[in-house]
Amino acid sequence: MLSFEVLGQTIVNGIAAASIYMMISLGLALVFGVMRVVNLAQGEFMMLAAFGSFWLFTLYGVDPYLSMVAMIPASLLLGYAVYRLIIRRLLGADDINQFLATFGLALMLQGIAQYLWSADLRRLPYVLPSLEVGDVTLAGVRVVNIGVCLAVLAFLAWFLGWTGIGRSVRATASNRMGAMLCGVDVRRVDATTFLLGTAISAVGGTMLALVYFVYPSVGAGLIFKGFAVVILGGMGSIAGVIVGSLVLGITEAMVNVYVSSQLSALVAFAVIFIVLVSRPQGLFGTAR
Amino acid sequence: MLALDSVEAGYGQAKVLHGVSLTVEPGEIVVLLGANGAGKTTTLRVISGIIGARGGVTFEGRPLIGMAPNRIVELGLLQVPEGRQLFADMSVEDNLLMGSHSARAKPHRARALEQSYALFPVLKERRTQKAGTLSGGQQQMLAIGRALMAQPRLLLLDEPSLGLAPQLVTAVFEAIRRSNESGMAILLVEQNANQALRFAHRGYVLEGGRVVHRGSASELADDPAVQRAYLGLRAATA
Amino acid sequence: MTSSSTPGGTLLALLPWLVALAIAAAVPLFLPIYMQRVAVTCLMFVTLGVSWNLSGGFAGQLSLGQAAFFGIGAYGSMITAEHVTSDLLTSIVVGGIVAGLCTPILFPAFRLRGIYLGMATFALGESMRVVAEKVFPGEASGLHTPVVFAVDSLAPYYWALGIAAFTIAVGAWTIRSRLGLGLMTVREDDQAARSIGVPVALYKAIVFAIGAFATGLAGGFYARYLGFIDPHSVFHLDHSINPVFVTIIGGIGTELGPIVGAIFWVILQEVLRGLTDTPAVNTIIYGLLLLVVILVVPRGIVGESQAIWRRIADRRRGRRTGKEIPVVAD
Ligand SMILES: Nc1ncnc2c1ncn2[C@@H]1O[C@H](COP(=O)(O)OP(=O)(O)OP(=O)(O)O)[C@@H](O)[C@H]1O
Ligand SMILES: [Mg+2]
Repeated sequence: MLSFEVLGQTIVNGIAAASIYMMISLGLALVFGVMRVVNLAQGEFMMLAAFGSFWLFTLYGVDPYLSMVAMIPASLLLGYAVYRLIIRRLLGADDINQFLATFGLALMLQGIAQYLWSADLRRLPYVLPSLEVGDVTLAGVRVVNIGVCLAVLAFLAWFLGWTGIGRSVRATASNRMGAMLCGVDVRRVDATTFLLGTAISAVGGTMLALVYFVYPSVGAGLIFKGFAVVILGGMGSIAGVIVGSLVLGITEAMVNVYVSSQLSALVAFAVIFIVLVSRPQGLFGTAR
Repeated sequence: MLALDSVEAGYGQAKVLHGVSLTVEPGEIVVLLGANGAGKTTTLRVISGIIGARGGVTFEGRPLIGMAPNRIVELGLLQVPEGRQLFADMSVEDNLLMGSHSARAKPHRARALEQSYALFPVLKERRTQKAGTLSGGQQQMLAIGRALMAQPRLLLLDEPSLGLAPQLVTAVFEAIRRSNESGMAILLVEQNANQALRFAHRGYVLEGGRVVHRGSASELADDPAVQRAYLGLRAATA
Repeated sequence: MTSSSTPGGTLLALLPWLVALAIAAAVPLFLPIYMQRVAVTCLMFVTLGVSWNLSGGFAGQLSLGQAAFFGIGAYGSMITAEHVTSDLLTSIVVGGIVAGLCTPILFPAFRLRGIYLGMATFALGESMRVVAEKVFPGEASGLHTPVVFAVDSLAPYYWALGIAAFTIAVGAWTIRSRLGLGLMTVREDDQAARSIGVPVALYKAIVFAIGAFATGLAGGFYARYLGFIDPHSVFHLDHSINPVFVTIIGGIGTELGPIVGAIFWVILQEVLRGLTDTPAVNTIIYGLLLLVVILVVPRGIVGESQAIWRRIADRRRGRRTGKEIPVVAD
């Protein structure tokens, strides 16, 4: 049981899960970092994109990697509407109001998905040849998922580190007042950041559809993994998201194999609770 | 150049400014004095568009009230704010580059960067360091350097000498004087009234959100009331 | 508060509540059986909302984990009924006490505020569910007790009414006591509260214990009422969210808010049920309502009415409220 093959396989599975956790957590971290708004509906952007790719494949046979790209502009439209109608009004609002308003949005989007497509669990039956290294096997779609995740991270690193807009995003996250006084249109930065997070989560939605079930509340389950990741890695920190996702994904995989599959669901909640109560300031940088 | 006419402003229900009027003419250094909580920072926030206000604020005839802060910056009106408001987790150079974010300043970015480094050589030495790791004096230089990157026509400074060692205060004031000699108008908020009045042209004294004294720098320095309230006492407690 | 200083004043202040109680006691006599059950749900919402409002509204401590106490109360009463005594009152009260005694699981989270407290308590509630599903595994995870109430009995309604009335009374006492006044200063600023000598941690512990006890009573009653429970249903997230929901709709931090919110929500649900039988529509309305209330009327039905009433009263007295100067920056 405690063989190296099992351990290796477990870690690889954990990394594959982490690639999806990163997609939701990056959106959460970007939006929180710049606007100090916690967007509970981030998972629903993922869910909708997952459905989009699922239906395009099921009805028209569209290759999911094509629909992954097609979901980006679609998510931007929805994201912009959500930003204008809801998120912008929540800037500087009470925590509790932000939480409940975005929770309301999440419920609404879940309800709409359920109304249109029922609560059934669906699968997107798309298979790629799997990758085998020694005794460790990884399904092809998971390998590509990890690749897509790395590509997204590389894009984000370039955008934030090497472009002028990226620099204003970092500046606004670091000191909103300072950015305003430098002439940054912080509203535009807000919108840009929110849309960036939306697009990343949409890409994650297709990734999710390829390896898991698609159903209306799938995003709600993921958002708390996202919380665990950003709390673990430090709210609003991109590097923290990468580390946090890997820690969560691998820990869950380990608990699943070596302890109990039921209790692996506990890992994310335990992380949230333990990290918050033991280092409430330490891990969020400047949050409060 | 800049004119405030009976400006009223505050935070929520709490009114802080009760009709402040002042002007800054091109090429001038004007100092705004006042005790803690007099409303000096609030006045600068109104000018930069950070908070709303009633009354009139114009910059070269253009009304500023209701204008977004980024558009005010585009007019060449810059502020070195209280608490510096640096981007602590970004490099010194990124902080400076953010200073020339406005469309107006961007074309001159390379030259402005050189000038800032020439003015404060220590910033060049530390340009890859995170701004948050600088000493207080270096941070103040960075804040001024960042504002100068925008090639301001009017620069607002909120207590730039606060918490600095005396020789650094002299260096900071020297930098301000040199910027002014190159044609930049300056509105300086200070509690360090002695030193500020020495090189300002004119000044205002704010008390409880109202202008209670105004005049040339020498008039203010000689005014017994001002002396008692802001010069003697402050020097003794400083 | 001032009126309760004399015995006559107390009676006068109590009068509207007594009238409301009398009306509530008479209501089921005119309701069909189905609506009686709906009314029981409504009263449960009132209990949960009022107890959540004590900590969440008056003390400003966002808890999203009340399901933990609901579930503990449910299991406490069912296990008591199965192994000790099937007496209804005893088992329900034991459920409440056990839930109240579990308050210390929240202590580590007391240093957190706002959304961080919300996330921590949420995580706690969900953890309880996962653990309970592990502890009471498989098919046997459910607990049965003999049915206590006849199908057409009015008794469940009066039990639920009794628990709700008890919770409202305890809540009313709490917010008027030194405890309540102290907690309201904690809501504004817990540092300041501490500096004026409010024992912040102790007060938080007491108010959460009161809430846990009342929530446990509701859970205990719910378990005995149904005669069957399993971890998934009694530790369900809904029991954490519903109390927040009805309180927000009714008016957070107002005494009547959760009561009005619960009645409003239950009636709206029934109306919707008449129009459509898709649960998805219910979810959409739920979400939309939450969104609209927060964005448009964040003070809720009661809070907003009070604000309007105050404005009218001010105008009648000819008093002008100081106009706010717009603050544009965030
Ligand atoms: N963000 C704010 N919210 C609410 N009140 C504020 C805020 N900033 C300042 N005030 C209040 O406004 C009043 C004036 O403050 P302001 O900062 O303008 O004074 P100041 O003259 O700059 O004082 P100092 O010398 O201490 O910097 C003070 O009573 C202060 O408490
Ligand atoms: Mg100030």
